[in-house]
Amino acid sequence: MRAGFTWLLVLPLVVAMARHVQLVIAPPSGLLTAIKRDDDQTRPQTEAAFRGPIVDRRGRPLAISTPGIQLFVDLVARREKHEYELDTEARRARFPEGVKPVTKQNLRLMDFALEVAHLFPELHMSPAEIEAVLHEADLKNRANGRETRYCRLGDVLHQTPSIVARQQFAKSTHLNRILLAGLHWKESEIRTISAPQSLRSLVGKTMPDKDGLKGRDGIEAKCNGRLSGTMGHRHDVVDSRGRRLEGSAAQPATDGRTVAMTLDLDLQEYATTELEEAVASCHAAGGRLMVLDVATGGLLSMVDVLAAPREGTWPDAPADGIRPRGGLVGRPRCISDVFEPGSTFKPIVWAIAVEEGVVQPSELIDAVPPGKEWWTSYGRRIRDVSGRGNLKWDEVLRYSKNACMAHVADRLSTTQLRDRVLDFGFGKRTRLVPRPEDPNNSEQNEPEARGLVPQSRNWNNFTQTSVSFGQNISVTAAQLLQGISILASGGELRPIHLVNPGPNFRPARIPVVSAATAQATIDAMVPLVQDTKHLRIQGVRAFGKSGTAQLPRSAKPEQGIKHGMYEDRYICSFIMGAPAEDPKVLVLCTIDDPDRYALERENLRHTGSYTAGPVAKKVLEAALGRLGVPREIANASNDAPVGIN
Amino acid sequence: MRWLAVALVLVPAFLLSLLGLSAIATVGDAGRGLANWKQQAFFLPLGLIGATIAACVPLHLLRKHAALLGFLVAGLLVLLLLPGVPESLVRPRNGARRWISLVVFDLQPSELARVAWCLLMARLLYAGEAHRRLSGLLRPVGLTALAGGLIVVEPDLGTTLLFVPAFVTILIAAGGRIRHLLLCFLPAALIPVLVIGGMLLAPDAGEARLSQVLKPHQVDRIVAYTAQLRGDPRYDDDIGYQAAKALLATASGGVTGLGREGAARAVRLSGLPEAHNDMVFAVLVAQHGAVGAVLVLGLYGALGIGGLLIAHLCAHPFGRLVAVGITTMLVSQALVHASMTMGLLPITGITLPLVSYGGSSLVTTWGMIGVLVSLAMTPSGRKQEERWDFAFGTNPS
Repeated sequence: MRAGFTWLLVLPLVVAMARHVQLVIAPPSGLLTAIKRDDDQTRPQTEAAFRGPIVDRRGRPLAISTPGIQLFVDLVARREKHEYELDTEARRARFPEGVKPVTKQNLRLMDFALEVAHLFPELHMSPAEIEAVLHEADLKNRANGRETRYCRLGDVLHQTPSIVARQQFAKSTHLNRILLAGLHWKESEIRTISAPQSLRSLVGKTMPDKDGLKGRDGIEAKCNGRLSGTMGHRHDVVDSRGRRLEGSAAQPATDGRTVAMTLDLDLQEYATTELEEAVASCHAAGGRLMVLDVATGGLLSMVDVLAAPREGTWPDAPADGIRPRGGLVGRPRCISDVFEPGSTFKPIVWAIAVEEGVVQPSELIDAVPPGKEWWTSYGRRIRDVSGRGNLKWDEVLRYSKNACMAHVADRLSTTQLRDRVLDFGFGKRTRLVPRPEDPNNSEQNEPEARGLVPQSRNWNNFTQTSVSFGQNISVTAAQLLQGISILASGGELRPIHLVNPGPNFRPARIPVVSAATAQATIDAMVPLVQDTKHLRIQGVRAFGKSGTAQLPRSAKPEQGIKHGMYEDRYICSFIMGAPAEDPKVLVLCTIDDPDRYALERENLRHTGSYTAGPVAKKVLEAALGRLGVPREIANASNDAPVGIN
Repeated sequence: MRWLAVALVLVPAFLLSLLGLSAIATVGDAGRGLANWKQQAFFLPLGLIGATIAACVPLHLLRKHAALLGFLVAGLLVLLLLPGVPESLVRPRNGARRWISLVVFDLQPSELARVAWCLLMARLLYAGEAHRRLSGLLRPVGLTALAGGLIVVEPDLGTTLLFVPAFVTILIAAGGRIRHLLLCFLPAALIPVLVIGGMLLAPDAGEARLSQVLKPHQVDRIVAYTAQLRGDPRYDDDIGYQAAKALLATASGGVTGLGREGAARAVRLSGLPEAHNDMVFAVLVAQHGAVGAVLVLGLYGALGIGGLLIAHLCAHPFGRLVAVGITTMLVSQALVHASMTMGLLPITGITLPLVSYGGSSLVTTWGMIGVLVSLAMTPSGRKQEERWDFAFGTNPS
């Protein structure tokens, strides 16, 4: 035998043996790492928990979580399997004329895209779009050394029984596995917000987090801890690709708890409709409406409407850059935007004056004679719409007499008035939306405004007079509602809230004024409603107060305009409650910048009781019906609406 | 001497078969196809029977009916490719049409083709000296191209490539001129050397250049292979997955191996694909370590020496060429399998003869062993047709 033949046999064997010796004695560093990593094949695994639902006071869903799937494509697996094993030549006929692929490579990609688009129409992606996405991802994948191996396909899909069946179909046969090679899905959570548009800013949004979804804003963020479930844990033995082989005892995931809101969906929708109609009919820039269950402090409705900007509108008109884009979340203006309340604030000062004993309800304020102008002791001119004079104190609210309010406020010390105003909750956040459960989360911006109560050092006679009729003070709608609710609830502050704290919750009752003062104030507010035909509610003794405050004007030095108030632009408000004997419901409605001239052309009036009043009345009636407040049927007219049909 | 040669072939072959059963059972313990080793154990006696039958076939009958066998096998290979053949007869697996279903077992015609090709080549080359001229190489090259062509379109590139070393050794044994072979094969051999060398030196430029001439998946394979040679782990989780896992299993065996349970666990956790088949050498090495690797390679070395000894002792040149062809086929297949497991060659899907799972492969390989035994048992006497005894000592080239 020639030596050459022997060497031909022996040499490769020696090379192979040498290679093996090298692998055992001095493996490459990467291989060494892989061997070490291979020693530990147990992995702690977590099981995602679903987020709890947000529901209204009757359990109807506002935001719920449902299982979903996120389709993604393993680019490498798709290329590999598809290109190796699928003879797609015969499949060209499946493509419509004009879009037939030129190359085999394109054919395979298009084939895949066609199959995926056909199988999952919920993606709302055409084959061409899927192809474009994958082609781009393929290019990136090749360009950056395969760091991006996976490509997400479309949005998360709801995992309906039909989709589950299609998932099984995709893996059912060898041919399907080849056709759809590289197509995978990851189970995911879909947060569906079914709340009406008017509540979406309040409910808020979620965002992906490492443990699932996390609240980004609104109730979702504020109640994140309660809504988030507890992740399940288990210890798995996995193979080198992380696929589970066996698992030890596991702690199952616990879904998040339900967050029940105090809102009533039906009432919310009704109030939204009414307010939208009012804003439109008043040619206004917007409106706000809040309905309060006085007994519990729970808000039944919170509506915030913004109209499309009109020509010549108030330059400082409220705007929300997100809402016009159809965004889910806008600014919740009922708690975020402040305004000068005007006369709607008078009941607060009225009650303070009585509580402090500087005036009695039946006292005649003879210092203010008839006339539309009156001068204060320090020489400030006070103007009024009504020319009535010599009013009793309990008639002052009926005729909304600024001069009387200023005169009586003058009897209070500045400290008395300011401290009492603060006691009513002004200048502080209502915390209508609960505090963030995670105070370290800087993303949870505080949407609620504090309002503006002038500092003690700035509170002078002028301020004292102005505050008495609701000027020089800024409040949010929520603060104003809460302030008046103190009067409606026997003088106790019951913090208003949106999230139902649970069946065992006992609302805090913080005394602010005496029950007698509160009832006297309510009684003083009754005539305005009862004497006004379009505000009166048949069968129920309602109370209310209107406000028509001038809007502030920003200074424009370049145009010679100084900071001040518009003469013909207003924010009109109306607060209304019923029944006056034992108030159950309180409604606050504001109409931002109604077009005075347009209303006058239509022989309508622009003041609070004519713009916001009717809306407040209708919603109050509906709310009384929802809460089952009995009415004097014998006195009710046939055409009076009761509740929501 | 004759008995020594037979022992050198039979004993390693039998030991390798037993090792194969052990390795397949180990993979079964890993939770993948526990029944595989039982099927393999069923086919081993069939293989021994086949070897016995083949050993009883006289040399002249092999020579006489080589062409008939060639036609038969070619027919089977064509049958695999014919469109319209029912899937119950030819069922594609992983996109390949390699098996004919015979109810009890699946027949892989390419396995038979290797035997038939050896016989036909020997028949073509043992008489005449045309192959000593360059133009005379056309017929053996054509025969090889035909056999390889029918197999490569199945597709089964790995089996096709095994014809190359067998072709070279048979031709040398038949007295072919080395310079002719160099002229034919050197350019072809240089291409992979240049490609891999280029990719090692300038990966990015090389990939861009290859993309112009090859299909994307082919480029990916080459890129992954050269990356693995460079120790770059980027492709270990996709295109280079199988190679990386094979390397990991091979290296993790250490000197004495992980034992049966350890190897089963390693195979299971590493997710080694085709562990009972294309990667069975890695399983053996994980189980028995470097000792096992040396043992297995040593057994193939012994089998190769035995085969060449049989060729040396065979009086008839036809028998000598058949022995050289069969021996080269078996040993080169084992070497390629081991080399790709150890990262020396790219993964091509070649089984380890006598060890890997596969009934028809086992029976056919034992049949080839039987042919070797038959050649060894051919009555000795004066060497016939001495003028063709080029390969062993009297080759005038």
